[in-house]
Amino acid sequence: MFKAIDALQPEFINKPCADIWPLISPLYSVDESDWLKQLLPLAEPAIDELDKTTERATSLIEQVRANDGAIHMIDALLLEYSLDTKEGILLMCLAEALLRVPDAETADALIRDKLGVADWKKHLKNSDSLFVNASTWGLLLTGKVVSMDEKEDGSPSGAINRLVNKFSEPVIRQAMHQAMKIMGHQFVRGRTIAEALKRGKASRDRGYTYSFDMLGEAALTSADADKYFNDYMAAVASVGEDTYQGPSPRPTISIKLSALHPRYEVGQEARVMDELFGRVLQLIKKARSLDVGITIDAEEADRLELSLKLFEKLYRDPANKGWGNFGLVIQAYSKRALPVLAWLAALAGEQGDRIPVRLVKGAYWDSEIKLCQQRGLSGYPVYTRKEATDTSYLACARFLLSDQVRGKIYPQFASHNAHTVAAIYTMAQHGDFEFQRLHGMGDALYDTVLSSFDVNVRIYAPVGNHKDLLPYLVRRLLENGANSSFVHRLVDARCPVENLVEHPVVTLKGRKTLHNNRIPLPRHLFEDRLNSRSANIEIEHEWLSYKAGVDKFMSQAWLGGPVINGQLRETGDCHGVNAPYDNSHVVGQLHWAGSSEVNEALELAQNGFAAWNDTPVEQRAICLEKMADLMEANESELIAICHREAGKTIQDCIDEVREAVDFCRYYANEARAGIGKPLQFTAFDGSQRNTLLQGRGVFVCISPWNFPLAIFLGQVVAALVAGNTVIAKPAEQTSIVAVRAVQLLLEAGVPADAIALLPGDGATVGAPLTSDSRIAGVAFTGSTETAQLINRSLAQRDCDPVPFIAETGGQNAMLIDSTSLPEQVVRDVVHSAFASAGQRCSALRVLFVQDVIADRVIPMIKGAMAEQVVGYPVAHSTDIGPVIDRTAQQKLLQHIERMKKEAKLIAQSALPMDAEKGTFVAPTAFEISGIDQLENEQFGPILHVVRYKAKDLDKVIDSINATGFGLTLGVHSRNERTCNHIARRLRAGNVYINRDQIGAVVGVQPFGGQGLSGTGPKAGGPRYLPRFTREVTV
Amino acid sequence: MSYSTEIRTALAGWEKWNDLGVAARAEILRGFAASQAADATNLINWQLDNALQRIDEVLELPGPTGEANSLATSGRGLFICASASNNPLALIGEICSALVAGNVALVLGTEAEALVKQLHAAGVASAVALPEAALESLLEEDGIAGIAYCGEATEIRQINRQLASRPGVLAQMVAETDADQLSSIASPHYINRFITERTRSDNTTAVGGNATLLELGAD
Repeated sequence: MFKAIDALQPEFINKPCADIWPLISPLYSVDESDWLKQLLPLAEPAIDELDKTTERATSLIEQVRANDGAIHMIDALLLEYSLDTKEGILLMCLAEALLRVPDAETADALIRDKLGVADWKKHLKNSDSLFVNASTWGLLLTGKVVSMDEKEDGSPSGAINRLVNKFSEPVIRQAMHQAMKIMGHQFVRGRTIAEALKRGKASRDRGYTYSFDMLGEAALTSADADKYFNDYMAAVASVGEDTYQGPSPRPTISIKLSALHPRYEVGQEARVMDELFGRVLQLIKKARSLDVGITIDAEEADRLELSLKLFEKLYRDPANKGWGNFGLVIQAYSKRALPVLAWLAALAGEQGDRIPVRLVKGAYWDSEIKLCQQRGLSGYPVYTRKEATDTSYLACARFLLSDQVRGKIYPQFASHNAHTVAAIYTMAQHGDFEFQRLHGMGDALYDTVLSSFDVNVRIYAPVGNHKDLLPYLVRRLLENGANSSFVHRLVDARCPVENLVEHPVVTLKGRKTLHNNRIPLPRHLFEDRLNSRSANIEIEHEWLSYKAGVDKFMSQAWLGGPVINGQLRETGDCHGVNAPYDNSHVVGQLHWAGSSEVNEALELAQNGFAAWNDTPVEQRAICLEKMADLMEANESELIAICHREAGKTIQDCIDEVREAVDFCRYYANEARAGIGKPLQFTAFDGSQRNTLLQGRGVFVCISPWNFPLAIFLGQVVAALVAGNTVIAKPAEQTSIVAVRAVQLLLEAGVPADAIALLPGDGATVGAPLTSDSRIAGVAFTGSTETAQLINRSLAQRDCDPVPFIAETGGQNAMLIDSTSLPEQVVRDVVHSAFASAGQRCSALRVLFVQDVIADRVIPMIKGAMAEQVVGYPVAHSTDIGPVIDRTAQQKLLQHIERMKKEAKLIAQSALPMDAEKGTFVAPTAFEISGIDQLENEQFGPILHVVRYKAKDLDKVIDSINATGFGLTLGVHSRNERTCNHIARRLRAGNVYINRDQIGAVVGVQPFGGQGLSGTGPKAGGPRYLPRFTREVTV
Repeated sequence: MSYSTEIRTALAGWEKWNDLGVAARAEILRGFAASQAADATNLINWQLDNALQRIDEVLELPGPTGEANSLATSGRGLFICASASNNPLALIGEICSALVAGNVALVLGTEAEALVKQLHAAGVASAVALPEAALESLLEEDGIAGIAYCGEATEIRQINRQLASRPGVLAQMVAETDADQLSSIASPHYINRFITERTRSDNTTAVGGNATLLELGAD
């Protein structure tokens, strides 16, 4: 394991960089407090260094505050509309969306949505900045409007409402667009490099230089990647033509790798190291010929290792050798930052070419934290306190400024924090470094720095058209946590200077814990239970051990069959189990149950009921928790079975096990809270009643193949913990994993006469069970038709009605309007429609796109589909695996054939070379006229797209409701009223706003449909368990 | 005979009633409660209180930062309310449960007209009296989400069989066999049979930023 202090040993970076490389990955999510203890000594200043730093920082801040023109542009905007005000958030939301809305109707509605609900008037006179006041809507609407506003002193939000009412909407809309353009102007240096160079001349005369960036969304399609590539090539050429003769150094170009390739991700490493490598190399060649430096931007933590591999390959290429102007960005909030810098220094030492490194604090903090929590990862790749990031920044700086690194890495310190600037300047014993700031931010600070210190300052300046850039920058700005940032407080006279010059090491050491104790680790996200865990397969260190675990089970053959009285039975009715991706690949053998097994299981379960029902709830709950632990202990095997038996991809397998684990822990707690404890209440007639929820008897659980572990086990453990004994019938296609699950349940302490497993077909197993009068309830997930048959079979029995909990099909829609962001939409559409080969109940089937953006969105879907990898599901590079079997495949192919005649083909992804070995269906998208053109649900990777007009939104909703299904619904819109309207009117059990519509999490998004889609109550929700019980008076 | 017209009309009004929410519907039904005899008033008010406690609140569910997850309830659609017992409270209990949960009540039996009249007077539009309707033929109609019935076990089995034979939605059989004590109708869990649940998950970071995380602070 890497020790932080080693980095400062002069000889450390003389090692081959290949020896330092393995030290990087294990720090991915290292224990934060432990690691910070190691970093603190590197960041900690000696006493005289501390004094000098404090003095310098104080002096800088005082000079900045003394300067009347200090509060500039974005600083001022953030000060007035800080993100702790509703108006600040709304302003940013509007800025993020308005410019891309092409139609007046939707734009006006968006403006109404954002303006109608906040107190804008109070911001009118607060700020001295002309820009802020110009951005405050009132002033934009001419002096006459403002005076009218002053005369009437009505309710807080009245002013704007009156304006909105008084003026025709086109006027307001125009004013808003104008305001957004003003904002865009402040964020963006120029629409083209030529313009940016021209507009930047004054700054350069003052000593600044630039690094330009064609920022924007990541490319999802080759077409977009091509466009960005051409933009970068043109930008390099423009900068190369720079004729500035003054003292400031030559500008450089920053490039974002995710813009240059549609699949810049670890799973596609082969493509990245080939195609993306080739592209960047072309840029390097051109840039070198024109003497324009290139910096690779840093992105998400998952891509760090990949970016370094790519960087190394480019750096070592002959095209770069001897240049010394090819660099990259390192984020100090990353726990891996220090060993990465050591690796870079060693790399530079080996080749002899200087590497410029921009050290930033990091811009994706919010989303890194969120992703880790969602994925149940081992920890965070980033620090959870700002002062910890600042400490890491200074520790990295100490390394970068050390003698042994000088000449190897050229440090470029990007910060808007006066204290950081002072600390670095004080720490530096030489002048081979520069500072960097973002265009529009930190102007006053760096004007002061330039006049006081002898140091270079480079402005990082976004270039591009406002419509594309403003949304992106607003999101980045919001993610930067502008509210708590230094910029905000620097110019805020109410904030004492002493507070701003405290050294982060001092601040951090003053905390109770070095990590932020208000941000729980992903494992402890829930207060009352453990979150299920997952390896991060994008991280080398975690991937290698994950992979080694699963590989052990990739050639095993399993024997499955009925499990009765705790024993696996071999009935002789033996069926071979083969993999859907390769029908010649043997997974194992499965013995099917016959009628004697059915009878035996029924009798046993009937006899076992009383004892199990009398077992204390606590004990039953503990069985479930043991089951959760056992599944985590055996996850490699369970994942391997899901790969091989169900054809699931890696992420799907991981999510499958996680969901099963979550079900166990969630239902265990729900049972403790809701079952087994008597309910005392006063009845309507004033009498006191005591009731108890108990098991009902023998429950039958019938599950589908699409979630062979999660849904199977969720139903079974819910029934069990409620006090029922269970006979489970797994899907014929996926019984092996069910056998293993039942064996683990027995190991977890569920009595042998409380659970039986009967693999087999519906006629032999399902039908006799559901017609038997001993059955006290059925939980079923599957088709609407089968649910009907079971319901009838149950009703035909000569006994009282019993609970029938059915989760059935859907015809799931997503609606997107013109305020939505196409890149977000397309990512979520492709994922919702095609992940798991579309074999999820929740999967998107019909996408409704507002007509005015359809010609942008539909080609983008087509382009993104062209990048999807269909194939061997065990490969990291595969996005989409096979469908379950030949029957499913044929049905889907028939639908595709029908649609080819009746609809317009949008796109079809490519199949792998050896597709005929298994049952693959190519992801396909069609444009159709309306949802009524479809008859049934197509349970596979087929997407239908419908264009709609904004005015017809309610007709669209009615048409979806008319299908009778109501499982999931997706909405993408920045207009909250639109989201609420659709969510309210459209009858669907699970509504997802501005995200994908699959992957419901137990206890977080309880899952289940309405109408034809299911009976309820929702699985993974608080009302599920009581439906498995009977209420008895005690 | 066919009740398609009545059912279409009732369904047309459903969305509006359902959108009111539990609290607003309970408030309206208090007026109906007040117009009843004392024991009925008690039963209705008890049921309304129970509904407010169990199905009114939109539950905020815990989860990852940057998401807002919630669970709400709504009505299922058209509920037939019928009773073969002599206890008038049974029918009233069924109707009030169906209505407060957000359903349209199709009320059968000799009491239907009087009760529905009182409901209309209280401001409940979503109750329809079908006093002459034969249950069997009503069960043939499309759009029935469930039936609340108080009667003998054998009747209930028969109704359930007919319900199960229908195509389409799996209609709910909500039975009461204890006409004297109303042990189901007067149970706190009874209301759950009349609702459907709705999960909503918002990505609160779609525009960028995560105010919740920033406001967390530290100590």
